[in-house]
Amino acid sequence: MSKVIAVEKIDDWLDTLNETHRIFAPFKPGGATRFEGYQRGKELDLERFAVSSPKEAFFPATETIFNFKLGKENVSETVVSLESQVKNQNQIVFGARCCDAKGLATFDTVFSGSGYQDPYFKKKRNTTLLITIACHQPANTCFCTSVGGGPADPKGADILLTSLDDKYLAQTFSTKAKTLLAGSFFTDATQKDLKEAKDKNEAARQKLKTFSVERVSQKLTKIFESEYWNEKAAKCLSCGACTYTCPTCYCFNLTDEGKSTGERVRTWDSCMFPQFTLEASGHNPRPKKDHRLRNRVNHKFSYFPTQHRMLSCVGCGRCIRHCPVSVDIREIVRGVQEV
Amino acid sequence: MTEFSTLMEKGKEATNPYLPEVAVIQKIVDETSDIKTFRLVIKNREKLKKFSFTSGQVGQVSLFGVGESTFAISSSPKTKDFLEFSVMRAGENSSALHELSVGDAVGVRAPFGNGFPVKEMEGKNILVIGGGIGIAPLRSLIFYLLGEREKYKNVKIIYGARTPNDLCFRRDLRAWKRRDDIECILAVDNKFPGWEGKVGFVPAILAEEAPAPADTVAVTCGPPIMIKFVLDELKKLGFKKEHIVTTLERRMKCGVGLCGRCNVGPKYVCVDGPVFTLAQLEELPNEI
Repeated sequence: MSKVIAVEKIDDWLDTLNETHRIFAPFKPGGATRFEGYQRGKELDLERFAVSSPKEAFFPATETIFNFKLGKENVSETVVSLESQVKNQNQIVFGARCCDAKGLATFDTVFSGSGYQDPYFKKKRNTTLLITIACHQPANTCFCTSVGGGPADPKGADILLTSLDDKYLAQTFSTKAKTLLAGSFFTDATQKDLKEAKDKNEAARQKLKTFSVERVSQKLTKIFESEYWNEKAAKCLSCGACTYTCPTCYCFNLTDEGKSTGERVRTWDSCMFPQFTLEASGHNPRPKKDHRLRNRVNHKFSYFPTQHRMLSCVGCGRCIRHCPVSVDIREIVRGVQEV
Repeated sequence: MTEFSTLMEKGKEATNPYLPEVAVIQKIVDETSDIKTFRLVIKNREKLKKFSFTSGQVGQVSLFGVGESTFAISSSPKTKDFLEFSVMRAGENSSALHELSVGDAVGVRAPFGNGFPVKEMEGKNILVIGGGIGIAPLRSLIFYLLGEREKYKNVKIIYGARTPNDLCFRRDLRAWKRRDDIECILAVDNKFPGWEGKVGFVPAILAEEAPAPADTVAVTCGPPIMIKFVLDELKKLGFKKEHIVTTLERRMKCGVGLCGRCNVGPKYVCVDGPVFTLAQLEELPNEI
């Protein structure tokens, strides 16, 4: 199904959707554009690329796993009551980029693949619709076409929006999505609209420089012990900005808060931190920052492909844009092929 | 709504893998000045009855309000009434565990990982090499081997610790020493008044003993540096890489292959390990 909606009607449409869904969209509350809960009047930003990815809608930075309460049954025996709630969200992620949608495939593979299942992620994922928007002004840090994506790739999206001057083309890619395009905000798309969208999307694709990552996986295995990693990690601050903003990074920590009454909390973690793998004995398999950078690049371009036959990098470039010392994963990956 | 899971399930309709089962401490044994063995009984009798594991598998022990840590199960897989974890006081969680008393409640999520290849080991000589607290999963294995004694040929144990007082499971060690169907060699790092066993580091004792590699599976666990030299020594002695088995320690959180920290290359120690053969380890990046 292909429809069009006038730019000025977007807020009204979101208002309507907001009655039945929790909407997560890119807003610019201050300077930066971030995904946040929808509120009428907040300034929606579909132009600039959001600082963070919308993974928070499925995998919040902080999430309660269960609550505990300790008590005494008699003098000598402690009792514990545990309670967990896996919440049903009914969400819409609006205005995500195509790379963000693709990033969710990594989460799907890990959290609801063939192994153990993550009920917290799954519940949110199964009750969320994804409305993406095609990129027409790729940033100079974008490289989606090098890792199997594209600025208008509809994979993973329920609806793809394409900006056409004073209106948006809305194309559906799931049955559930069709119900969202009902109502008076939309008119049927014309052949001209479709042609214009196609041309614009193709023009955006042409703007991106594409490089090959074909042999990177095997090469990474060969250069594991190379000095290359020491050179590349020299300026890394181990700050973790790359992993927090990454739409595929899913590593997490589990910690307890509270004493006799409290909760076990899941928080985002980062493989860039030395504590990530530090054992109680003091032993650390990845004590140095070059070990950690090597692990991050290997995970995305070698380990994940080995395990799941897919890359776990979608080329959004956030790790490049937000790195305070300009560590550039493209340069590292291209350089690997030269070592 | 409260959901429980002790038998860790995989697949689409599995239960919540993060929810521990509540267990009560039935007994605490002071093994050394910094190691205690906790005997845990899962409160849900049905779950306890159904609980089964393979030696070498690990579990997550929760101290609510403090945190959760990974420990090898040190009791026999043949024991159905309880399970035991032997904990060295090292970090925050293990130190807090050491403060607990009989009757206190903890959380358990188990079993995780693959366990020792006890079926493939049948019909072979078994050489068990342990160091320090690394004996914990090996104790479970030794109990299993003794319970199925006729399925294995010679069983030899080499176990070392810093001092005689640091030898863990001394009651079990004495019992194994007395048996004539296993050989048990004990060592300490340095001479010690009254010590009549071997003196030296475990890899050196292994070299001195020089067990024959033919038809023998060696299983080792200990500090990473000991494992490294034991693996080298076993190779020198001519053991096949497929017959050298070790178990790795890694910081873990989820235990179910999701939290992303315990990988060695593309393998996760919590689900693909913790037990690996040397042949398997040599396929992985050198990041132990």
